[in-house]
Amino acid sequence: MFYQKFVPAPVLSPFVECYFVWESRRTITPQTPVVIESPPTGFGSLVFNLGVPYAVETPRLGKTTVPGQFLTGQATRQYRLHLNGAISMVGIVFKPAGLGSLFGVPMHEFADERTDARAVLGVTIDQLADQLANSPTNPERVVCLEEFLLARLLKNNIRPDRLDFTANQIVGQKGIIHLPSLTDDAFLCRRQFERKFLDRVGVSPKFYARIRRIGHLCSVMASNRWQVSDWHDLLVGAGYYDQSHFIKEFTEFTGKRPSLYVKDNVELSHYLNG
Amino acid sequence: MIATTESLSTLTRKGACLAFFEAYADLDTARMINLATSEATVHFEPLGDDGKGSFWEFGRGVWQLIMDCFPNVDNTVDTMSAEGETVTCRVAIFGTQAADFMGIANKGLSFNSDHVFVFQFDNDDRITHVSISWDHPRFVEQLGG
Repeated sequence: MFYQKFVPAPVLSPFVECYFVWESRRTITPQTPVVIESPPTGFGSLVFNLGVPYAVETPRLGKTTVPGQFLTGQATRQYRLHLNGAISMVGIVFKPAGLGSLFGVPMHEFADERTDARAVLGVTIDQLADQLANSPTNPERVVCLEEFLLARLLKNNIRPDRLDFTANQIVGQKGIIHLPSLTDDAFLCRRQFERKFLDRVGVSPKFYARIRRIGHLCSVMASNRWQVSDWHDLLVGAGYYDQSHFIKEFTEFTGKRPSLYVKDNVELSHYLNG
Repeated sequence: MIATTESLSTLTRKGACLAFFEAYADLDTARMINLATSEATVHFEPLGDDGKGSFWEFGRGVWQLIMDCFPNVDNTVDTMSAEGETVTCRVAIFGTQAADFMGIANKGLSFNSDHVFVFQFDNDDRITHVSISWDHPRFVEQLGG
């Protein structure tokens, strides 16, 4: 597998985590399929599949075929990708409020969904898909994605607001946050903050912080190739001070107990490995 | 057989769920029940068969009782997910007791309880049924019962 991340322009950084290119470097066929598991990462995305169609499996929906170009909101559970052909994907990974801020779509509609991007964003998606298909190199494809977002940003005069700031704070603090302080930072009352956050991010602030903690923990484990030498240090570093609470939390999000998860997953989320 | 991906038809249903919880937070039972058909039903699962009834009458009565006994009752919608005619909402409900409630004497204590609401809709995106579950022993414990 080949996975590469690209950094966005500074003006887009409040909204965009990175661009990515993901390609298979060995043959994948229906006879030699690949299944990749991923925990919730805390990021939404806009993805263009230039390769063979594939399926995603979630506990709620079972196996569904993924549209050629799609939007994803927050994943609240583990999901599995079933690949049975050549992978060639390019896409945008958004900060938690990025999709909602840039495109004005209610993100609670897209949690745990892979929705056809054309149905949401219109024919401009077809034009962008054509550009990507006709771009011979990955850096040129990334330029297409960035120009698409910059046009959106400039045309609609979009600037990051307090909600982008507070959502990105949760990312920066790895989900270890004090919610009342966060509400103060947003200059909103609790109820308004929660409503706006749900609309812009797709889940509540508290739930998002839980996703972020698990996502960060998994990224740390993945970066160490799933070798955990000291669980206690790992958990305290991720803000878990109660082992039984951690096991319950981890199992709820991933569907497996931590030890089994580590044993099973040698090829977790490529994004987390970057 | 692999199913196709979700359509956009679930959108207004999630919106109806949000409207329900906003009305709940505003202590407005009339707005809550107007999102449902007149034949709609409700099941407060931890109460067993005693927790089953019509949405407009039994449901409204229970929600009004909650509002009377917990005047500051409020909620936070954590997640919403749609599947066919069903929308599942995970919601934190919280409030402070101000009057005796279903056999739980008022001690002025607060509760914060994760609830799961499973709404079912008709083709006109109106609620036809809702099942509500929560950890009832923990709820009672928080109120000192």
